[in-house]
Amino acid sequence: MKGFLALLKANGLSLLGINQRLHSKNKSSVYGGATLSAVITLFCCAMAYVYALMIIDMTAMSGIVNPFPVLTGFIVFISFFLSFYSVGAMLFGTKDYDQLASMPIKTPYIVISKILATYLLDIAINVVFMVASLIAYSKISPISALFIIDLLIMSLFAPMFSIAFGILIGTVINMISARLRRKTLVQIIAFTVVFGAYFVVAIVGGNIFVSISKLFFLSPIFEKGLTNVLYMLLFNVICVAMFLAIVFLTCIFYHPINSFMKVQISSKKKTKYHGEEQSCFSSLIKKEFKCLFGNSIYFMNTIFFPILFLIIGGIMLFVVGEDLTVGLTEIGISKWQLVAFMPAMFIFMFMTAPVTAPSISIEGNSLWVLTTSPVSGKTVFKVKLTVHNICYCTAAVLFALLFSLFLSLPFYMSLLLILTAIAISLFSGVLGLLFNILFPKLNWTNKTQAIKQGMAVFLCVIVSFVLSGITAFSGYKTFVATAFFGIATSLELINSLYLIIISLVFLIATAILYNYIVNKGEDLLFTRIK
Amino acid sequence: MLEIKNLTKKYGDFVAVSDLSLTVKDGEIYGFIGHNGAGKSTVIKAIVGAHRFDSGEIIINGNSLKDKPIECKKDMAYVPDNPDIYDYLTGIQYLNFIGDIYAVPLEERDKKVKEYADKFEIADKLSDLISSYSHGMKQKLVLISALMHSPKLLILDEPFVGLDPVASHSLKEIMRDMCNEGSSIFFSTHILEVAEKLCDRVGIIKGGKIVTEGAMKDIVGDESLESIFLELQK
Repeated sequence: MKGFLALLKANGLSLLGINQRLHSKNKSSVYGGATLSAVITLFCCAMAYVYALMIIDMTAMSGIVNPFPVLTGFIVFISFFLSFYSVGAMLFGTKDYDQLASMPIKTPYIVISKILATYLLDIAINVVFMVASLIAYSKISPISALFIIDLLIMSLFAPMFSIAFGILIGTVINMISARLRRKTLVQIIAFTVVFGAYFVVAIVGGNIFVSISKLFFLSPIFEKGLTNVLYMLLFNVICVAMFLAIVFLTCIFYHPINSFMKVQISSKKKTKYHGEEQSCFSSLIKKEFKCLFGNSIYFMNTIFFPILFLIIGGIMLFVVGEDLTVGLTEIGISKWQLVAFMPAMFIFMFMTAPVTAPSISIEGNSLWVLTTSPVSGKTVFKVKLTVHNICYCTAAVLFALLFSLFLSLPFYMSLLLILTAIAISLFSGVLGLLFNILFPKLNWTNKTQAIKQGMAVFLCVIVSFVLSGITAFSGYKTFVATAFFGIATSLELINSLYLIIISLVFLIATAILYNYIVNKGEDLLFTRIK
Repeated sequence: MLEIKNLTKKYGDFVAVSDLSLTVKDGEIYGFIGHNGAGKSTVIKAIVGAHRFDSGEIIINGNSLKDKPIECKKDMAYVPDNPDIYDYLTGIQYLNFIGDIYAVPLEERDKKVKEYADKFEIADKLSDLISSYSHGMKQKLVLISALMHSPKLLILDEPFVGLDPVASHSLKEIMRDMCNEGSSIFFSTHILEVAEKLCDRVGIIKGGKIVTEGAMKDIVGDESLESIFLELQK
């Protein structure tokens, strides 16, 4: 038991760089970090409230009386997805595996200590979201004390369901791909299929909220559990049973799976020496792409969402396009109103997880290769931005094109939409890189820590949420202005002007940040790495 | 080839290296020794440009590291104590990457890679992903990448750690051959017997300061390097 507690303490201290901050000789960095963490926590709570309000409103419009099964279904899916795509890095093949395996600690303790961090994080997300939802819901409907207590208790157990499923599917995918030479590609395809299937089922299943609720198959028990203690207990028992069963299986197979995944296939091919001589820049680009596509978590956490939005855009256009257009017209939403909200959509899509945000952190201990090579920091930064821009600008152009086709926009408006999407994509790249230069996380035991748990990544999410909120509001104002003018030509004109202004603002901001990174970035990074 | 003048490096209030000066001449092997935490790696990381320093100057082949870092880095190669490299590349992909970075012509690159891969007995593993390599294999790969562009100055931090006896022997031979051809080597080690046999000059660092420096025969005299080192640490 002492070993277990020691493991928990070690894992807890390493979480979000707590120990590094506690023992930092620079006290201003300690206080600065604590303040920033407090601001981020408050911001997350506020955002949870806003999103809860939004979902509750939308579910009410869809005729759903009790929005909590939908809210839980949504959160459970996020938690499931986070668990199943990080299981490979979290549970298996970690850098500390050999050390842990050699210690006199029972396997269940090792497994539980690894899972517990994810569980606690999921509980925090779930409880914050549910409390925010309760506050939002209480404004439109009275809530009984039993309802609140049952909901909060079930919020503690629901993540067990998602983690159990996440570990199960994630382990199967990781094991199948472990012995394949193109294992990352197989993992990416498998994750995309699982994630895409969820959304396809939700979108084509009619009412998206009812579908989300149904996809969480414990939803009926959960709903009854909100007003009935016995059902609440039943829900919790099922979650705990599933969780324990998976933990039990993981404990049995923990060492065999780790050994299985550690065995690398040796290439039978004779080494081909004659490579292709490339310029330094091209070679660095190639290396960045290999890093991006050689790590499924890096891929999933950065360019997966733009790709997913493209898939959803494609489904909207080719599968449910006509129905959706008719539906929007019926509830009085015109295509110009949708155009006014597109910048907010682009910001959410392209700024939440730019490729550049963890691009320095992922170098980890191998950063010395770049810092000691005859390559300037300026070149390295340009390379990282180029890779981001290739991925994101392509996705931006395609998405803007799809949307233009979907709304049958005039040619010039399509071009403006493409320009806006590109401007936002370019800005997200420089912003992500600047944050990572300011907050590099180079010491990690698995790549998930560099990719998902860095301050740069958190800050990108926050800025994306804030800016998408501001642009959604300004889009709404534009929409009010168009209503004020009231004639068709003015609607087009005002939307065009709005897109031009947004594009210019983002392009100017990109130029300023780019200039700063290129001139000061290297010095800034060296002050951050010790 | 390498001249360090009054180098000082601080971490916050802690002075890791204080007013350190030393010179490594052309064709010389310089051994840099000191106990753990003495400042060896800090000095090495400052020389190779991995860390910035607070004051002083580092001159490599006549160029100042502060003013012309790219020119300085083109002339040297570095092998760190921990060979952490890109595990998503194969061995040969990594070597080609380094070849491109240092603009090594293809023919020369192939010749050098074959020569050193055979010498370090790693040729049949170059098509495998680096993630499957052991510590020693990674060390060998980093050594090949460092030697590939025929550096004028080779900086090695604990190069013999993790190498098998055959590879250690090969590395010693390569180091001597390089110096005979006019290149210089600056390396840190805890293996004093190796330093004593291999080095032309030696510097002993303690608490971030050089406590003794000079030709090996002048420093050691009739005693062993080990006894001199232990004496200086008291």
